[in-house]
Amino acid sequence: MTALRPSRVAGLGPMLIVALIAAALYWPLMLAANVGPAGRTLASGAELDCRTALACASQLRNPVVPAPAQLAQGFVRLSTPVTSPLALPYNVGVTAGETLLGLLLATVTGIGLALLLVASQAFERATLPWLVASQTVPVVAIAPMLAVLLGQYGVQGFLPKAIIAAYIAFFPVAVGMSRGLRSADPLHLDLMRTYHASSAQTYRLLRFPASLPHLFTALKVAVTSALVGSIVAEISTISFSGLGKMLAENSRASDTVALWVIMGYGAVLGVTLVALVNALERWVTPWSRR
Amino acid sequence: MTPARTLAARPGGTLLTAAALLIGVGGLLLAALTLPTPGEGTPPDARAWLAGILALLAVGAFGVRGAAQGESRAARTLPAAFTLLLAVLGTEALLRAYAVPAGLIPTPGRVLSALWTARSVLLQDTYTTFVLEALLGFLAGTVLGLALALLVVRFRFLERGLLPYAALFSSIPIVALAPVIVKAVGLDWPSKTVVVAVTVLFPVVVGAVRGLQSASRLHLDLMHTYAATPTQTFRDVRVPGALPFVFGALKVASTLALISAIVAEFFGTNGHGLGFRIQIEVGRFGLDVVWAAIVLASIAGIAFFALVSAAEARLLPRRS
Amino acid sequence: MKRSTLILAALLLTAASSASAQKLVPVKVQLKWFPQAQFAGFFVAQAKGYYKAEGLDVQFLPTGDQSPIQTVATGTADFGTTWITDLLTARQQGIPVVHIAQLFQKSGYTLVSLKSSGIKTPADFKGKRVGVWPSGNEYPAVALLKKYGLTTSLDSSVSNPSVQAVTYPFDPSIVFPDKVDLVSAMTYNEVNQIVGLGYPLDKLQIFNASDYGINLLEDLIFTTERTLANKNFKGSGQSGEDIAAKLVRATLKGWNYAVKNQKEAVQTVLVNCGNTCKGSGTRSSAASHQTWQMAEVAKLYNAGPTLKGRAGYLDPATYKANVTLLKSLGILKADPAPAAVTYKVWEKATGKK
Repeated sequence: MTALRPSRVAGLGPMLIVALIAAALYWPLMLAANVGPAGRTLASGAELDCRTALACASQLRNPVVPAPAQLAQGFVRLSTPVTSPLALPYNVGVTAGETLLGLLLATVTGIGLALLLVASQAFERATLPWLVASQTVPVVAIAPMLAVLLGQYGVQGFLPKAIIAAYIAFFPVAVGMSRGLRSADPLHLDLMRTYHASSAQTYRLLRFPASLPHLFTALKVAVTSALVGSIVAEISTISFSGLGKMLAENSRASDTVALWVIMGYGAVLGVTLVALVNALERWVTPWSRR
Repeated sequence: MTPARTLAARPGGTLLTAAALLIGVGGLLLAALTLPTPGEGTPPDARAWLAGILALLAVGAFGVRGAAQGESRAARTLPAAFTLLLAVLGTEALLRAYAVPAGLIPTPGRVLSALWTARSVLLQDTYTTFVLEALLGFLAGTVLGLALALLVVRFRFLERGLLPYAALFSSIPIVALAPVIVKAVGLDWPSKTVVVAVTVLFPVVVGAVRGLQSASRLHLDLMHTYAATPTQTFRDVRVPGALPFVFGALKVASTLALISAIVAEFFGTNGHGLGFRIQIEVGRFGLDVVWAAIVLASIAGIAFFALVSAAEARLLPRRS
Repeated sequence: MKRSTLILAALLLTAASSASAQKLVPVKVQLKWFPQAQFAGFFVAQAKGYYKAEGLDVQFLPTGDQSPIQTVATGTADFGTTWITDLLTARQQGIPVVHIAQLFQKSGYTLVSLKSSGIKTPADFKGKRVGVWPSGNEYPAVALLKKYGLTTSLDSSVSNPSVQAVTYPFDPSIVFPDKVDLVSAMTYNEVNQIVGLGYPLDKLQIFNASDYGINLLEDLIFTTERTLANKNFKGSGQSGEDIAAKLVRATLKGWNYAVKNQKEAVQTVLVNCGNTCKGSGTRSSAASHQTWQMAEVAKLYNAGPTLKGRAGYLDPATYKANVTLLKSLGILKADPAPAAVTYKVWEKATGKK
C-alpha cells in the first residue's frame, strides 16, 4: 500500500471511475445472472407476481445476484433500528470485540511461542512442524467440538469465540515475531556483548525494537484470520449475537439478500480492523514512517 | 546455541536421552493398553492416572530435549516425531483414564481404525475436496491473479483504480463469501472451486504487484543503459524480483485454499467432500470418522504446503 | 385490626415470594432450532411464569451448529430437546443421555416434490436427487429410502448410491425445485415456505414419512444420567430428578395452554424470535407463518397418549416400534440400554402411572 500513498489524492480518480463502471455494469449483469433461474422457476409452474423471466429477474426471492433495490431494502431492514440487538451494527460490534480479544490472545501466545522458538532449538525442532500442521487443520471442523468442550467450564459467549479466533491467528504472529527477533543486526548484537549487556537487556533494547516491523506485518495478516475465526466460531457454536450468528440464521432461515448485506458489513469490518492495526503501527513505530 | 551446551560435551547424555524416550513412550503405551476402552469395564481412578501420565510426558519431553541436541540428521527429525508419538499416546491414555465417550472425543486408536474402515469413501471425499476444489481453485486463482497483476503493472490507471479494491477484497472473510457463491453457482463441486479461486485471487494479485514493483531503480537503469528491450527487462529483472513475493502469497494461499473448500462445503453439497463428511458425521456422533476426515485434510494441507515450498526452492535460487 | 392482619399477611406473602424468587434454580435448556412456534409450549410456560412458579429460572440457549446432545452431554445445558433417532444414536456412541418426556407424539417429517415431476410413490425415488438436512436430521429420509431398498452417499460405507443425496443449509428455496426432485420439509415449517415460493399445496406431492411406517418420534425432552443422579442440583438442595420433574410439569402446562390458546401463543412466540420467524419472506409475514406453524405443531402434540390425557408420555409401543425400525435399518446395532428412557420423571411430574 505504500506505493499508493504519494499519489493518494490523484489516485482517487481512477478508483472512482472503476467504481462507476462497476456500478453501471451491475444492473445488466444482475439481470443476466437471474434470468435463468427466474425462467426455470416460472417454467416449473410457480405462481409469482411477475409474468416474464426478465421482469422476475429483479424480484426473485432467492436471487443469484440481488437487485439494487433489494439490496437497499435489505440494508435498511437489517441495519435498523441501529441500536437494536437484532440489527447489524450491534452484531458487528460483538464480532469486532471477539476478534480483537482473539487477536490479543493470539499476540500474547504468538510472542510467547516466538520467544521459546528463538531461545530453545530443542523446542523449535520438537514443535515447529506441528505448529505448521495445526494451521492445516480445518478450524471450522473442530470449532463446534472445541466450543462444546469449553462450554462445560461455563465459558459461554465471548471467550470460546476469541479462543477459536486466536487458534488461527497465533501462527502468523509466532512466525513473524520469531523472524523479527532474529533480525537484529549482528553488529549491534556484538556491540551489546562488548557492553556486557544482559540477555534481558539485549532483548529489551535491541531484539524487541528490531522485531516490531515484522510483528506488525504479521498482525495485519492475523487480524483478518482472527475475523474469519470469530465468524466461523459464531456460526458453529452457541451464540447470542454476532455477524456469524446472523449469517447462520439467514442462511438457514431464508434470506439471500441478507447474506449479501452481511457480507458487505463483514468486508467493511475487515477493512476497518486492518486500518486499525495500521494506525497502531504508526503510533508505536513512528520512525518507520519516513 | 554455543557448542558447550550441546549434548556432545556431556558424556553419557545419549544414554540418558534414550532411556528417557523409552520410559516416556513405553510407559504411555503400557498405560494406554492397560486402561479399558471408554464405555467398557469400570472407569478407572482418573486423578491417579493423570498424575502418572503427566509424569511420563515430562520424562518423554526431557528425552525429546536431549534428542534435539547437535546438528545430525537424527537431531533434526527425531524430536518432532517423538513429540507426535508422545502427544498421541498421551491423548489415548488420558481419554481412556477419564472414560470420555467416543461420541464426544474418540481415542486416537478409534480414529485410526475409522481411517481404515471408511477408507474408500474418505479417499473419494479427499479427491473431491483436495483435487477438484482446492487444487483446481488454487490454480485458477493463481493464474487469474498473476494475469491481473501483469495488467495492473502495465497500466498505471488499473494500478490506481483496481489495486486498492484488490487489497480491500482480500480482507473480506471467506466465510461470508461462501454461502453467496454456493447459492449463485450451485451445489456441485465447481461452486467450491470458485470460492477457493476467489479467496486465492486477491492475495496473489497484491503479492505479485508488490513483487513486480520491487525491482530497484538501479537495476532498471542498468538495463536501460544496456539498451535492453522492455521484454528483457521484464524477464531478467522484474520477474525474478517478484518471485519471493509471489511464493510468499502462494504459501498463504495453499492453506487458505483447503480450508475455504471445506467451509464452502458446509453451505451445500451433493454428498461428496471432506466438509460434507465432517458435517454429516458430527450429527451422527461418528466423531471417529470426523477426526479421520480432519487428519486427511491436514495431511493434504501439509502436502500442499510442502509442494509449494518445493517449487519455491527449485525456482528461486536458480533465478537469483 | 383485621386490616392490619391483611397487610401483614400481604407483606409476609411478598416477602416469601421475593425470597423464593431469590432462590430460583437456574436451569439451561437447549432448544433444537431457532425460536419459533415449534417450541411454543416452552415460551408460553416462560411468559406465563409457570417455570417461576416451580422455582425454576429457565434460560433457553440459542441453537448452533452442534447437536443439542453435545451441549447437554458436556453440561453446557442441563436439558435439551431433540429427535428420538438423535438420542438413540448418541446413546449407541456411549453418550449417557436419557429421554424424560415426549412432546410430539407423531412425526411431522415429509419429502415434497412437484406433482408435475411424476413421482407417485417412494419407489419412484430411484435415480432422483433428494435434498436432506445434515446434522442428524437426515435419518427419516434415510429410513424411508432404506425401506425401499435405496442407498445414498449419506452412508459412509456406500460408494455407489442409487439416490443422489444433496445437503444444504435447511432452507428449501436453496435447492427446490431446480436442483433436487424431492426436498425435506416439516409439516409445520418448510411446507409453508415452499408454498411461499409460489407452489400452492395442490401443485405439491407430499410424502409424509409417517404414512409409510416411518413414524420416528420428534421433539422430546432429555437430560443426562449425571443430572438425574445429582442429589443436589446446582446447590439448590433438590435432586436433579426433582428439577427435571418440575421442568416437565411446567413445560407440559405451557404446551396445553399454547395448544388451546393458539393466537395468544403465537404472540408469545413472536416476542421471542428475531429474524427467524418470517418463514418464506415476501409472501407471508412472520405472524401468519407462525400461525400456520402453531396449528400444525398442535396436530403433532395432540396425538397418541396426549388424547388419553397423558401428554408428555412416551408410548412404550411406539418406542418399541421406533427401535425395531432403526434396528432393521441398521442405524441401531442393538437394543438401546434400558437407561436410555426413564418414566420416573414423567410420573413425578404428572402424578400418573
